[in-house]
Amino acid sequence: MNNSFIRKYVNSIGMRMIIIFISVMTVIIMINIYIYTNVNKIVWNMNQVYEKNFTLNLIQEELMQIQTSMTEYLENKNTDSMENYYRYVQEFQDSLEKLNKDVVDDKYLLMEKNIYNISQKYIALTDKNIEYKRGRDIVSYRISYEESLKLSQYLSDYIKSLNNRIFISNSSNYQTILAVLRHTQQLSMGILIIAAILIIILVTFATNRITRPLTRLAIAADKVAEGDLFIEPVEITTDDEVAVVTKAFNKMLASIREYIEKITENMARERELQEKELLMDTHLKEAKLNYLQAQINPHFLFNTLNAGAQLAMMEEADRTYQYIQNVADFYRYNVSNSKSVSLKEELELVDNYMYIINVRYSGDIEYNKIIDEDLSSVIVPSMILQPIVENSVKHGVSDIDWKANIYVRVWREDNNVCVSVRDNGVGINQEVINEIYSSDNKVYDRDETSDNGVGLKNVISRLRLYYGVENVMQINSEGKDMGTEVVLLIPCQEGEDNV
Amino acid sequence: MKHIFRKHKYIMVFLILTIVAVSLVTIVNFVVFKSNVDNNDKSDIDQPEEYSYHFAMIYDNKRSDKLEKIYESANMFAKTQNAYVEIIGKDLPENYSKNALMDIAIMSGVDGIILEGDDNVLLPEMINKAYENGIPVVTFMTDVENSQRSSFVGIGAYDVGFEFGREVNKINNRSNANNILVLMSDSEGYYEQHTMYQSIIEALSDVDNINIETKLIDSNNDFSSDEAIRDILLDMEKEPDIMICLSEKITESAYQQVVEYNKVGSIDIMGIAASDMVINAVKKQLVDYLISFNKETMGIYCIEALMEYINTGYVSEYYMVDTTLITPDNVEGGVADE
Repeated sequence: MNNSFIRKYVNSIGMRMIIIFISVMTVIIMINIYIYTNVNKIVWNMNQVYEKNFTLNLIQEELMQIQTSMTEYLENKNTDSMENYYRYVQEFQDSLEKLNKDVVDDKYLLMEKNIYNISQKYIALTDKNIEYKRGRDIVSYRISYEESLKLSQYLSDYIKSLNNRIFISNSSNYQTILAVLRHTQQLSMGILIIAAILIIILVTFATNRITRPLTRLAIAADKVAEGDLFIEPVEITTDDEVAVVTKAFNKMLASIREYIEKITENMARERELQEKELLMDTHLKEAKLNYLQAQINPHFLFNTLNAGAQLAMMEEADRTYQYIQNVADFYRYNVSNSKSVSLKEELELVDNYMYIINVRYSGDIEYNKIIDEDLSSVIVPSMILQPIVENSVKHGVSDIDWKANIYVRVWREDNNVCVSVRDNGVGINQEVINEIYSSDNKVYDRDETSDNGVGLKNVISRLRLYYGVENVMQINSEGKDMGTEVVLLIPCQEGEDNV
Repeated sequence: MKHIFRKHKYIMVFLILTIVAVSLVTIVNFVVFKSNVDNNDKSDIDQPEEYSYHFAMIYDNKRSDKLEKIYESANMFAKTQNAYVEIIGKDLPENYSKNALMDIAIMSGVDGIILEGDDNVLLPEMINKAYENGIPVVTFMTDVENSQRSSFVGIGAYDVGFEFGREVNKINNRSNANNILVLMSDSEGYYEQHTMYQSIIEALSDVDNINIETKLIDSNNDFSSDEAIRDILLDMEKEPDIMICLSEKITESAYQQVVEYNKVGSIDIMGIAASDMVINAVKKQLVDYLISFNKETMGIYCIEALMEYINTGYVSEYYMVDTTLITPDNVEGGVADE
């Protein structure tokens, strides 16, 4: 866990930028230290070059001061001169300590040794001079003075010579140092340029490394914004925050694609359902319209009929009342807006219709029905049975010379509830049957109806739309005058198995 | 950590490149700096070697090849004896006399003095002063008589003179050259020259019809010997057949003047080998006979004498350096290289 945390921390953009910054700063600081050290060293060397000359000049000056102060003392026996003399001797000795005293194979150092030794002899001599002067030994200090003059001359020559030669040597050293300084400047510049180039390369490389994944992500996001959801997933090359964002982006893109696909699928399914529903409504409305157009204001009619029924009841005309009541029920059923009804209701409508027809045709048509009562509650689209019965009445049995019969039977077969309407009329040829079967789900064309507008085709279309199956009706006719049987095959819907 | 280095390898590469670049430049810088300094002055870089003894060498002609060689040999040998030899006064602006240089050496507190002797009357006094200061003095080339010098390193003047005499005899037998002019320097080793002259006389004592003449040549100044020899060549009533030069300086001047006045062939020159120029003259047969001695041996003997004195308190009075004859016949064989 710790390792993963450290890795994550190290790989973060912030940390990477800090590392780059620290690296660049380290290099710059190193180079600065390098240049500073070099310059310091050169400055120190330059100081060293002429140090020996300073010392020799000082010794020369102090030598002159000793000589002068000693001479003054010898001339005047002045206390100040003596004090000066001792002070100068002390300073002279201090300066002499800086000189070489060893035997070495360097001629200049050897000259220093000679200067030192001669100086010691000289001081010993001048000290004696002072002593002689104090002791008033004129002869001795005169001789000694001459001697000290000679030594002073030797020393001066030595110091001048050494000073001169060291100066010449130092001049060439100075030239060397100047050359080295120039060289150091050039090299420092070279180092700076190299470092600058390397830093530029590093920063460019590192920046690219950070921004390249961001740029790729931005391009991908741009495409998505333009609506192109089907792009390749963005490549992940790093292990930083951009990688996290890129992963999330790729995941989001995949989710959006999946979601859109689902929505599209659902919409298609819904559209299909809506289409079906719409078609159903259209057919129903069509059937009703046709029916109502045919029946002339059924509301008014069935209210009127109700009034008539009440009148017949008051006048105790029971059969009239019954008739009018049936007619009224028939129309009431038609004005109801139910799309789906129970099979029982459909059968009652058929009963009403047959009653009216029989009144009309003086009970010439025998109407029988065998109903499996268990199936009377099956829900079916409305207005599917009466048109079939009406069709049998109008085209099957209306013009026959023999006793007309219409049988309605309801039974269950396999998964279907079968409703059969059979007549013993003129029958129907196969061409007409085929034409009826060929009825598509399309909206029923009214012009094609040959009756009141509510025909078999309309029923087939509605049943097909309602149940979503093709085989919803069988029309059987054994030939001319052999009658016709129309069987509706109503699929048992879920939950109706036990009905 | 490996993971971090791998992840940030470009930074590591950058750092390594920078360090390598800076190191390279630093090394180049150092090398250039060192070579610059070395070219200008090696003494600034090399630590000087330290020695126990400091010897002073004193001679007049600071430009003499011979003396330079003797010094180099002496110094080289001295280093093996833990001593260093300094040519006193070489770097001083003033052209100090040998006496003054002796004084400076004494005041400088050297451990020993190698002195090219001469006939200066004050020199024994300075040698004695050194002696009193506990500084041994070894003379070379020319001895300083009547002084407290510890030892003398030189060539056998008698033998050299005798060699000259025998050679004159040979020439005399060959070409009947009987006018001999012996040139002596008035500033270089009177005693040695005199000894040489005597031995020449001795070598030719049995030869008849030999006329030997001597001339003392002023060689105190740089060109005085040239002038003196020119005067001899121009003024003499009869040209010498053979000129015997008893000092190096005179040999050199004689050779130059003989060439200058077109006397090559008519005057034979014998002398002391001084410079390469004179030895080359033998090769060209412009000079007939040179006496040379081994300078290295002379330098070594000087140091040996001093060291022996310092170590034991006494030393041989004389160190004789062998001489070599250089003639046109043997000069090509490398004899002169010694």
